[in-house]
Amino acid sequence: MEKGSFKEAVYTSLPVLGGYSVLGFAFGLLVVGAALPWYSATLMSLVIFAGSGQFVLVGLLAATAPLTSIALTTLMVNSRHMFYGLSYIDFFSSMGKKRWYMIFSLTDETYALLSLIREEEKSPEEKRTLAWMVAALNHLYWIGGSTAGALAGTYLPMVSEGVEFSMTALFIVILIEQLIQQKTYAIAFISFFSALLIYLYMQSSAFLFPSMVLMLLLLFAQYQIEERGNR
Amino acid sequence: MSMSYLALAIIIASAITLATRAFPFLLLSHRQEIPGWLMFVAKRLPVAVIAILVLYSLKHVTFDSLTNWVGEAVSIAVVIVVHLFKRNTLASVLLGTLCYMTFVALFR
Repeated sequence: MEKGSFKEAVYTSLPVLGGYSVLGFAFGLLVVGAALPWYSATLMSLVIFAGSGQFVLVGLLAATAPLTSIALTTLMVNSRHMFYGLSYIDFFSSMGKKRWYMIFSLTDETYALLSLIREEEKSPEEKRTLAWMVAALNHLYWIGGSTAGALAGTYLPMVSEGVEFSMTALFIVILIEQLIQQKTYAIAFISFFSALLIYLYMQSSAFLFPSMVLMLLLLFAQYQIEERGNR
Repeated sequence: MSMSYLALAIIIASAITLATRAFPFLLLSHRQEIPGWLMFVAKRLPVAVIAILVLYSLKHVTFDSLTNWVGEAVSIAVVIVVHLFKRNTLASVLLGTLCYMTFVALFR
């Protein structure tokens, strides 16, 4: 029984194996490129497990950014995860102690696979087993990929110049997906260009945080205005 | 960089990432309703943040010579076109990055 569901979990998570090992590898290369020790890539993937969050963190670490700005930037970058759990409150609540691991490991990709698993024709027990196995396998792929990348970057002479573009590519893909789902084109447009203005004014990578705060304030103002209009 | 700085930064990033994912579970276990402004902002914030991150990841680009921006521009176009056609994250990221790495190897 367990053996059968393990095979099925591997099969279900195969698309993520491709994605996480390649992206993880690029992340590992980036970590050692930023003069961080190779094992910090393994450690980050083990305890953080957030692709874009980790890519941004490497940049902040390389610039020895203050811990407060690391905290706030992580919060902003991962803000999209705040609402992923809403879809799985009942499902996770039925999983006992494993629900804490499910919450911890709820990445974009795991979220997507869980939405497939939930629709399958299986007993609730089978679905729960499959769900945590898939989450754990995804985590393993991510740790494995980033460790391999960090070790390769440290010990093998490799052509890795330009690999940092994987971060840009990942962000563009997430942006396209968000735009397709949410249709919030105006917000993306205003956000991008106000950040560009702040960047041109500050001429430093520290523009990231004020830009995010500005967008937070603008969204709050928009809410106030729309609320008033509804009254 | 000191080891304690690195360790603290990783712990903080880990705790905050977990907190964002646990957010609905922490709120709803108290049977509280999520305030309207929070729903409104949290629904729209991600797209705004990702748009800023795209810019952040391109901050090294300058326009003083062609090789400083053409590779990026072409690779971004590759990512967008591949993704709109295939909707496959891995394919889009891989092809875009290979395109960029090729450009860097040839022209820089």
